[in-house]
Amino acid sequence: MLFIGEVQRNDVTLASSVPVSHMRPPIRDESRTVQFCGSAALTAPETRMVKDFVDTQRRTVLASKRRQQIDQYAIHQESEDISPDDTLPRFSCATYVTGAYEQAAIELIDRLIPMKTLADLKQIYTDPQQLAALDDPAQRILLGIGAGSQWPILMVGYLLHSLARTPAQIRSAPYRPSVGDEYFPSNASTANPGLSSP
Amino acid sequence: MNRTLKYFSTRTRAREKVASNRDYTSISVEVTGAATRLKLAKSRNRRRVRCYAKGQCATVIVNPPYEKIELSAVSTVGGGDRLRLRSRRASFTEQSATASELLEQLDKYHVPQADRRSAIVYAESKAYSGSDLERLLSFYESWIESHRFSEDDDTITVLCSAIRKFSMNMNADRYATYVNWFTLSDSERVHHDVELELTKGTYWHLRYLPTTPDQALRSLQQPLIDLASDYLKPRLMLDKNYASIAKFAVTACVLIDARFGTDEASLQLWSMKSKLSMSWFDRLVELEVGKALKTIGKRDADFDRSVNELLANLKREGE
Repeated sequence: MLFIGEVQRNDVTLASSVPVSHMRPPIRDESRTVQFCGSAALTAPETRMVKDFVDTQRRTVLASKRRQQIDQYAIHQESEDISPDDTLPRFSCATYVTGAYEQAAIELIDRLIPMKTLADLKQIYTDPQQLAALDDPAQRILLGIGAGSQWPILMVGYLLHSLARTPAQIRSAPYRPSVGDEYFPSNASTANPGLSSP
Repeated sequence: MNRTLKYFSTRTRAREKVASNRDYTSISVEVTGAATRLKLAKSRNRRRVRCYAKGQCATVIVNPPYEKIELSAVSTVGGGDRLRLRSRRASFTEQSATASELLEQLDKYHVPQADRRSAIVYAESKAYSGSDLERLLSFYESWIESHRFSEDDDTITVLCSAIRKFSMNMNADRYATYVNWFTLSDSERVHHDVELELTKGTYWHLRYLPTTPDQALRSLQQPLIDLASDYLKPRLMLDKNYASIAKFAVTACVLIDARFGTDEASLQLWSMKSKLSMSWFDRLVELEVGKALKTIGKRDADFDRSVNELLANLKREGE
């Protein structure tokens, strides 16, 4: 989730509702309570750059709302390239955040991340529609896992570890996740997370 | 699937027989003074009654496996003698619709507006080629032309979807049509979200697709210069999505100049950009040019070199 409030908030608790933009799916802007939050302490210029990302995606987001939820979600993307056959950008809830930060020239997560198998994904995704899609070859292509047997999937836990660092550390180098970082705090003894999907 | 149920004579009552076992075998609609009552029957005499206030949206859950039929409108249509029930889930626009089914839907003359719009949005993720692509683009040409001044939020969303698809599939013969969509009328503006999509579409076209440096390609540059010149103003840049429009306009303009080996328009816009003294915008443009170079470098070494040279020149001139 990206915080999209006009004013910085320092009073957020588990009971607070804050304005966010996030890939649920579908991508939507709404007020939500949060369990975790991290910040790179964005400067005003960086905030403007993140806003550019949200502005650029806004109509895509609204078009996505007209579609079925699973149709706009990508578990994994090799690149952000668009093709004439499919001009609808897709995100997971984690890549929606990293994409926004990349717009501000901040790389939150290293490109070298742990690989996940289909069996791992079936443990991670609990939504029935998403689970069904994992067994559908056509849907798996749309989800970005059509080919291969394991994929470097960006998990929400990695984001939490990245944003738990100081703003200076965040800007100096992307976070390189290891197995167990799917959990926050990290749990290296468990390779297959039972946490939220990316 | 839209069903238009006709009232019988003077009675406020309608029936429809449906063939599918997954649907109700009959639906009776009774309009009273205060409510609309749906009497829904399955085979084997299972019956159900639902009441709705006039105009209320209705969702009906049929028997297991609990497929939902969403009746988005329960209201009288056409002077009160017809009742229209719309089933969204049963619509052709569900995800399984093929590219050609969507195209058929777009080509039909009498199609409910909502269905046509859904078909446009769904067609965005379908592959078209040959004569089907020509049909699709011809439909988009007239649909975009007739809606491009719209201020209606839903229309703008669909319009933007159509523009994305068109921009990534048009050939040089259609550039003139595309360029015309940027122009204002003497009394109507193009919504800023539509301007953003048109500008982004031009940028995508140049970034992802091979182009030929001819007069047609050059024609794409003028609306970019006009837009960027209008929006590269301090007050506007901090408002709405104008900075994003300007970013794509400047970047696309650079790509066109690089394709021709020229620099005049890019120098003009780069100078305007530098005068803004907005470091975040400078970084945004550089980041976008960097992304474009990453894509272009994979398919066209000469174009990649030309963009790099122009970029170096612009930075030198800007110092």
